Amino acid sequence: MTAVATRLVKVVVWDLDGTLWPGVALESDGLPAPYPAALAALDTLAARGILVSVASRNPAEVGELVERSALAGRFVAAQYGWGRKVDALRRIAAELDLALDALAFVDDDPMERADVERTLPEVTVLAPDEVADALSWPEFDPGPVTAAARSRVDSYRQREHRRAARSAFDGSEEDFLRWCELRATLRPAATGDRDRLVELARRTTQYNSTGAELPAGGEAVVLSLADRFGDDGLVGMAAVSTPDGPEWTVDLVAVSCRAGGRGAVPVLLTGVARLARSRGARRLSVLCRLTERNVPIRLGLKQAGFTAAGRTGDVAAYTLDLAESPAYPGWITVTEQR
Amino acid sequence: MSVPGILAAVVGDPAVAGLPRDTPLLSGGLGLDSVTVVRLLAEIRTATGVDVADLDLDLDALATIGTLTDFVAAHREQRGGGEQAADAQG
Repeated sequence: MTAVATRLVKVVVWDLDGTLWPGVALESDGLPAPYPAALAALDTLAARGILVSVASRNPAEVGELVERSALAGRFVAAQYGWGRKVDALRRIAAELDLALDALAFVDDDPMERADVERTLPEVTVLAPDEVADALSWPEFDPGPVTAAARSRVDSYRQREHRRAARSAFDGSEEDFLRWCELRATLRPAATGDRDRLVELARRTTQYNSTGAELPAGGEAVVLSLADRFGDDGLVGMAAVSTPDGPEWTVDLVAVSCRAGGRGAVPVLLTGVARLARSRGARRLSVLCRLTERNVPIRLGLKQAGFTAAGRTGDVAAYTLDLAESPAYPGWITVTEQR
Repeated sequence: MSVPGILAAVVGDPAVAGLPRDTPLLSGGLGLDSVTVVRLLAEIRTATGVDVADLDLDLDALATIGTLTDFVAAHREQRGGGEQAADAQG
């Protein structure tokens, strides 16, 4: 197995005044027109499925103007107000459920850039005139881009609606998931899924078991997720290189962070366990690299009933006994297609 | 800094440091999201030298504030003091 070393930028956070457009919005009559180079960069990022956000010291009213301008609908988790950009970046990472090293930050002000570089060294910091060049760096290249990735902005918007509903919802997390009418479909991977699976393997970190490339052979189970806010499409996969015999081993689990945060990992692994059991397996094993970054997937393994059976170096094997048929959590409707 | 102190700093709420030891960290308690859990473990590793993600394969230590505090304390003793251990790692 070869670990994927390249970190990928998943959201580019823009300052506005002097960066996205010339001058100062509050001193202008209406919003200044964006720099053509900045607009071109926004289009390139959108085509690659990379999100864009805003960290601006402008008041929230400027954000409302942006959403009524030609830029409407482009930015997710935008942050306005007179606070440190460092805090705005932290809030963006938290809202999108991304690690800080998945962020890039563009600002024309060298003081702002220096503050972010010093306080959050994980963030890729760029001056506006470095952006065009940076777009050819490997961390801005997500590989094959699928329709699912291109619709990622829509998906994150659904997520914002879901988040707003969650904070207004008075009840437990499970009651909320039930209210969301979460539905999962599990099926064997088909040839046409290949690009999306490669992309999931490369782009996921928190809910990625080994960081390995997609295995060439074997079988894979894929998971699609939908709820009352929208359809997320194919958001998870588990690859099994030798799906026969009494013990199956899952070589790679990769689930997008927006699905992982909604309990998709135990659902997917329970599905694989039920499939393995139906074909005579007595034990299911999942290999998992022990990093701090993928602690979330290990919590998912635990929820699905897996326990550690031992480790070799920095890879542990987590196993589940299949004497009894594992059941799906009660807060989700699962459809199995075999 | 103590584990409850680090936790309070990571979630940005000083009151968290005074919560009962049996408060669950995840669902049914503080409800920490995945990003916050990862940050918490990184802060604990930096402050105490104890790498919970590496040492606790089943992550049982993440059950409550108390289990995490005890886990870090036990492994800190084994290492002969967190600060020195963290220094030795560079």
